[in-house]
Amino acid sequence: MFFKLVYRNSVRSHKENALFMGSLIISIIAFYVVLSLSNQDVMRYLKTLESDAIRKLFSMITVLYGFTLFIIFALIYFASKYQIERRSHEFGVYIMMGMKRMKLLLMLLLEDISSSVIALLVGLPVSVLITEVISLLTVKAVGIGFMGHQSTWSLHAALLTAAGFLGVKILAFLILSFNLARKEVGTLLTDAPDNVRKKGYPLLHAVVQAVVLILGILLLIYAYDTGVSGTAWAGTRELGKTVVTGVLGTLLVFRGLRFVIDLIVRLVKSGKLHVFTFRQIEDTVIFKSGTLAICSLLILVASSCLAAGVATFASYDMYDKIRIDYTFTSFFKGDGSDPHKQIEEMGLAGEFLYLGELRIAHPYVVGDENYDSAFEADEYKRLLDELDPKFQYHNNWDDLGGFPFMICLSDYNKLAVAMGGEPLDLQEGELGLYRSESFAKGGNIDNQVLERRPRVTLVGKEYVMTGTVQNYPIVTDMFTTLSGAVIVPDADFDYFADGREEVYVNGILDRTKYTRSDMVENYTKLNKLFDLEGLEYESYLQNMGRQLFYLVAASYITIYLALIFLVVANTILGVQFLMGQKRTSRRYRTLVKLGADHPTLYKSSKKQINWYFGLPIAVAAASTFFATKALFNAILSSRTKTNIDEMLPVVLIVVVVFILIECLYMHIVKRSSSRFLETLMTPEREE
Amino acid sequence: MEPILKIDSLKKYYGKGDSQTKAIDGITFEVFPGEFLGIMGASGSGKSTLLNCIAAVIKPTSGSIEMDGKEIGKLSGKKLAEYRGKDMGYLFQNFELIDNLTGKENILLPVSLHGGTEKEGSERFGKLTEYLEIKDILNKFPSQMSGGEKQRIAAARALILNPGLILCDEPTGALDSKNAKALMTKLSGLNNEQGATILMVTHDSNAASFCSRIMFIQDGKIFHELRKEDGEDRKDFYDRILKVLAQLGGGSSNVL
Ligand SMILES: Nc1ncnc2c1ncn2[C@@H]1O[C@H](COP(=O)(O)OP(=O)(O)O)[C@@H](O)[C@H]1O
Ligand SMILES: [Mg+2]
Repeated sequence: MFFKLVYRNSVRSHKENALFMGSLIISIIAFYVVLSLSNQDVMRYLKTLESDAIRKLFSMITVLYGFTLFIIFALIYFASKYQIERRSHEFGVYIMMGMKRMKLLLMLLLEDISSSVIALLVGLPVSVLITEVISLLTVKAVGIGFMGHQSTWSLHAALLTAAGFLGVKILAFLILSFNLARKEVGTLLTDAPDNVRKKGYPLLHAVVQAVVLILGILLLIYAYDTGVSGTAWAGTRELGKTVVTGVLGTLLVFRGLRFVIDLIVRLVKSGKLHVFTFRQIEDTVIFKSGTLAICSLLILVASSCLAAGVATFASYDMYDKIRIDYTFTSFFKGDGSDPHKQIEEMGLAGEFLYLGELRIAHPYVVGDENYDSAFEADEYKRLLDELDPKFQYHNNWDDLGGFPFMICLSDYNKLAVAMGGEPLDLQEGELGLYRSESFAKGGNIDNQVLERRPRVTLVGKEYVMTGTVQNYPIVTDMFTTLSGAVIVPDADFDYFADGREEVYVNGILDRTKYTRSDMVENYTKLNKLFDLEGLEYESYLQNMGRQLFYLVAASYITIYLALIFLVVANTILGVQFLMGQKRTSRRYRTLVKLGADHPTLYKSSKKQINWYFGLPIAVAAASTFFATKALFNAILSSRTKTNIDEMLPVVLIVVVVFILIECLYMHIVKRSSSRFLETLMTPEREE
Repeated sequence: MEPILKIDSLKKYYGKGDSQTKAIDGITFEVFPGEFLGIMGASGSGKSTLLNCIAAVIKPTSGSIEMDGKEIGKLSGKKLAEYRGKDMGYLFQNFELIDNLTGKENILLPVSLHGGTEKEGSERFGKLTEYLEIKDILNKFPSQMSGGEKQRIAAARALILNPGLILCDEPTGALDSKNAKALMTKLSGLNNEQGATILMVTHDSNAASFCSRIMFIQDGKIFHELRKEDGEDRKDFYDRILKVLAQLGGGSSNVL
């Protein structure tokens, strides 16, 4: 009898509560996707390139797993809380009929276990399917199809998923059942709204609320402005300011929203149950403005993460970019080896579009005692201070130091031309400035300084610095490149280098020799040949692996977090709404007694749901618009930034996915609400 | 004169077999326009069930209910909702005000549910609020009102669409005697001056003494009927009600 009851209840509750079941299954998918990350084809490939990266990945997975546990706990707690509250009347009746509380809790535990098992039985296969699809898609996008696909299935991941899920679920159950056990039967049997209005809405309140609303909007505008103009990224303090004003602004906007809703109640006078519908919405705005604001912020974080993740991934195209594919390692001139010649002898010179030396050196001609002041650039620094009084951009000037690297002008120019750029034109007595791409962010300031031709001295000789800031990579590995250097005309370079320069041979591959899809294979083939010949070199492949790793990891994690945040925000919204509706069922019953039919109530409920979800989404959408703009400015490198228009389709896809997810959630909540209203249509028996 | 409400051998049984309750067990009566009919009976005698059947909230087991010549068992969908909201005004023991709507918004709920022209509504709204003396509390929320005020707001709501029949289920049940008397005075005033037809369930003899006719029911059947004589004093009528109630109590204890 008891087990039959458990069975019946759990079957019924799955049918009745798509939201609850959906949350459970999504939790399982979230766990599994994180835990099986290292089994993805991309990750397996990266393992062959960068064992270091994989170590990082594993530490990251642990953090992510912990974070997921925490978030999923919140999700399950909320969903179960609603589940229990929805049935509180039923529990009250069980207790009234003489069921012991322990037995009731046991019943709930059994139901809980059965729903967990069902969720696992559905969720695990779905997760495996999803990870397989993700794996196949990324392989395709990255172009490493030659690796061959391996199943991402991992027993270890599945077991950890089940453990994490059950652990979180049991914890939520314990907390909730503890609360349930303490409740009086009376409170179980009756529904009462959490909050009842005790006061009207005097003019003073309205004025205060309008002020709060305006203040919130102003704060948001400030946050948007600093974000988009870029000042937010100048330092942690500025960023902190932007975040705090943004959060505060959002909270205040929702606080002050009552003003708007009250206006709608008063001014718009049409539609069945119009006043009731908006009073209900107003209630949420009064009593739940914090929750709405937090959900709105969660949605904002989610959509920004999603946009950033998708954009990072989409900006990745290793094929089209012209770059140095090989750098044959540095050696001091005169040690006998000549990779350039060796490659020609191997008959591989034809593979390259460009193969040329690049010489760099310190100004060695200086005596040891003067190393720290071989290069004096006081005028440059003074101009920098003048043009950038807030010191936002020139904290990296010191990297040049008093003993900088010099780059040989003619070598650099050949490379620049090969990469499709303009050569730097320097006359006798002139120096150029080199900055690596990642250090060139504040490039405008440097260019402005260079325009004024500051005077500097290099080993006692006077020069002016001129031209524009140069930032073509000078070796293939972007991590070993110079952050800054001076570009010196050949004759002077030779003199200062004192025969102790380092020579790199850079090669750019001929793109006509391979296609996009066998790009990686081509590298692998050439590497084998160079290895056989005993050449020392760096190939772009390592660099790419590293880049790919960061890229894939970054986009995976951001997209993953985005979805988790989105699910949590929507679940909280949905559960809050349905719980609120349950608690205010008295009002709906009154309407039924006054002759309202189900379609009328449902219409009002739908409208409430639209507003309940719509308000946080609308605010989040406005913020997302500015946040993604700011983010794109910050993350995308200066080269991709020019292609921001090309990001448009990406953004569009994100928006569409987003709208679909929101519509799905709203639909689920509407259906639950409809079924709940159905139960109110028959008169309750008054005892 | 045609009756506004005709009830014929109405039955409502709950449950099946041994545990069956005959909440209404064959009741027949008529209500005429302008009448103030009271229904009295002990708790559990089937009064609320009867009212709910008339309000079409529950379906009778058998028998017919005809309102203004319409058989309400045949109504469905929109017509049924309209019948409940427009042809009928309902006054409840626990007021059934919606706690997050102001007094005014509560009164106008039926208008928003069932339509009616704005002008008609506002004219009637003005008259009703004046008569029921609730003009000052229109912008208050129910939690700020006294029981008597709440019930007068509920009365205005029941009357706002000018229904053919007003059903009251123990309207004074949650009021103290002073507020109960004030409410009954207003209700009987509406009946006398505006010819409102009222059907009221109560077990408060004081409230019942405002009626023009009283039916006593017991165990789902009509047991007795009292009619106020022309010019009869309310006090005298009250005494007669008490006598019947004493009989009713005695009768049932004899049966037991
Ligand atoms: N929904 C129901 N299910 C079963 N029995 C009911 C239901 N509603 C009322 N009853 C029974 O019908 C009888 C009449 O109830 P009711 O009409 O509420 O009486 P009253 O309003 O006169 O106190 C009672 O015995 C009551 O227990
Ligand atoms: Mg009753």
